[in-house]
Amino acid sequence: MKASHRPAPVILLVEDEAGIRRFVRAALEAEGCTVREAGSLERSRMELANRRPDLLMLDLGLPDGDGLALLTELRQWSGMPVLVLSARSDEADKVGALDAGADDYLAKPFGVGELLARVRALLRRAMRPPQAASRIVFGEVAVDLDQRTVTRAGQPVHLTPIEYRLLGLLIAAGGRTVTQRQLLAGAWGPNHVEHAHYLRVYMAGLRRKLESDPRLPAHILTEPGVGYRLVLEALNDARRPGSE
Amino acid sequence: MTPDPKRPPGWLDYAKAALAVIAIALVGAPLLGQFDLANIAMLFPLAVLFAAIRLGRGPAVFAAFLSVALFDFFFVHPHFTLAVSDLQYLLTFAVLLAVALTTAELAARLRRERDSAEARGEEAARAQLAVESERLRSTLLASLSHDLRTPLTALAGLAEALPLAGPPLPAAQAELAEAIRAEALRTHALARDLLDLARLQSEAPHLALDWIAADELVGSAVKSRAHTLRTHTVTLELADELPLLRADAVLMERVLCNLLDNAVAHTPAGGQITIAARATPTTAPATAPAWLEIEVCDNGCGLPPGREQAIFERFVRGAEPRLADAPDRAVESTRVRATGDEGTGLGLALVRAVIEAHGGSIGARNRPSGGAAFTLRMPLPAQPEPPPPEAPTLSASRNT
Repeated sequence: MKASHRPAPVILLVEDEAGIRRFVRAALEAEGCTVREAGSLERSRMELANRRPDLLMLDLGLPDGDGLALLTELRQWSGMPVLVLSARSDEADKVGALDAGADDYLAKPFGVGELLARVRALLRRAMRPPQAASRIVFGEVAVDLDQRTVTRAGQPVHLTPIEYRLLGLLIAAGGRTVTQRQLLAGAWGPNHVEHAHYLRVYMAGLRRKLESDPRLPAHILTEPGVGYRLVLEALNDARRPGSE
Repeated sequence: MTPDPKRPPGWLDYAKAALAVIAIALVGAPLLGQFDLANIAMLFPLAVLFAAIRLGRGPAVFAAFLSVALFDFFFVHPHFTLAVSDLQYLLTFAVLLAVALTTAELAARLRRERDSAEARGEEAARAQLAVESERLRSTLLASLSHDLRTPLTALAGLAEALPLAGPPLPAAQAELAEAIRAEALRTHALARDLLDLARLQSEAPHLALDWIAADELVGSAVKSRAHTLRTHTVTLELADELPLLRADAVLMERVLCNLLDNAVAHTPAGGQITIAARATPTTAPATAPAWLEIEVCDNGCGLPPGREQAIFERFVRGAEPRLADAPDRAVESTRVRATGDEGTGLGLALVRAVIEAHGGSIGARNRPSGGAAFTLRMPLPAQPEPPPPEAPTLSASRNT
């Protein structure tokens, strides 16, 4: 990727609130990034066309339109990482952004630490060569993607085909939240995207088989109102600092 | 005056109808001899028409009969008796009566339709007004929400970015910057809670309903409060195979988080917090469960006796926060400062608003063994079709 032969990754920050732009810029520049700013859709279209950034940070509510429209356009010609900034309680916005191709979202108000962690993770993913690891380990569980086998503490674990597909979707997302819709479409097909209760049943099954305490899962986490994500390294603190 | 369509005509209306008929008779009297009797008879339906339009159906029918009677009495020979010398007048009476009654019926029907059209119009106007004011309310809330929260987000972020803009801050200044950030976050949380409360108390609050597994809900709430709960022991007592709830996942998680925050705030470090969930039948154990009960218990200082319901109320009225009179209030404010986010004092009011918006109920009580118990009851809907069973194939065989 571009970023690998550039001295500093370029981040386009699309946000209409000057105060937010200012502190995000300060944080990103302290991290060694080059920051371009845009306060409107029109300006961000120009920026995107002129100097392909390595990452787009996108606020959804802009004075001249909806950030989602920009995201949908962008996804027709670019797979650049997109981090969406959204108001904390607007889960529908987050889901819409993820379904439209956003890589991750950050709920306002967010802290500098959380912001930088997300940006680093997205840039790392974008720069990593496309070949994926064939063996994934979390907790006591090891998943061999080539052999399609799952073991827990060395013992083979039996997953049903759908359970395996769901686990595969979570692994492929690399720690990001996968929306309910994406999981339902991936595991059962596009006709089942409204059957959220299927996920309740199957996620409970996966947790029983893979989590050491299924009631307090450390790896297969629920993002209420949004979807699920797989965390490889168990956090012993809050699920996502700052996101309720 | 047009009478109230819902009020049956009174004696006064009948008297007015009679007066109308007498007036017509008086108008007709001087014409006797100059006009044909049949033409004079044509005057009487005017009185009936008046009665039907202004007084209602009953007085109109009364006027119709009275017209025939007066016409016969004063105008038809022999005068001043009801006797009839010429039988052809019986036809005049019949026609007069038929015209008068038909007029009465038609006019009365017209009046009813006009009244109901007016009522419909008023109702439509009221409905329109309600829609408008609800729309105004939600637009106002949305823009307030944005205008209050955006600068607070910026303020918290700017305070945190302060050290990044130059050389590292001296400890005292760093502490002040951190205090600014914490206060901004706290104000943000307060604005959020206030606006959410207002939104939930609107006539038809918007809920993003979804199927929710209670154990999953409890798990994610405990996980998101792991930092706050680290000083306490948390025990989960979740029944197996809990039925699914139909609720707004985000709001329900807020409910549990607020109850957990409340429990932590009023239970000394090292205390015990228990979260239990079970389905309860309404009557006989044989019937399907109708409620899902989730209970958050602690072994802390308990609730002020006799105020078990008031704790949900007082916040709404904006009175002093709960337990303002309790000695450990200071503990809570320290905690608020430490986490910089939660504890706006609206937590329990919000809990109740969310649960009630879902058709559920919440209660609080002191446990006999000490500490408080908050029990929320959520109505259980008919459960959805379970996912189709899977045929064991491919990866299953690999996995065994």
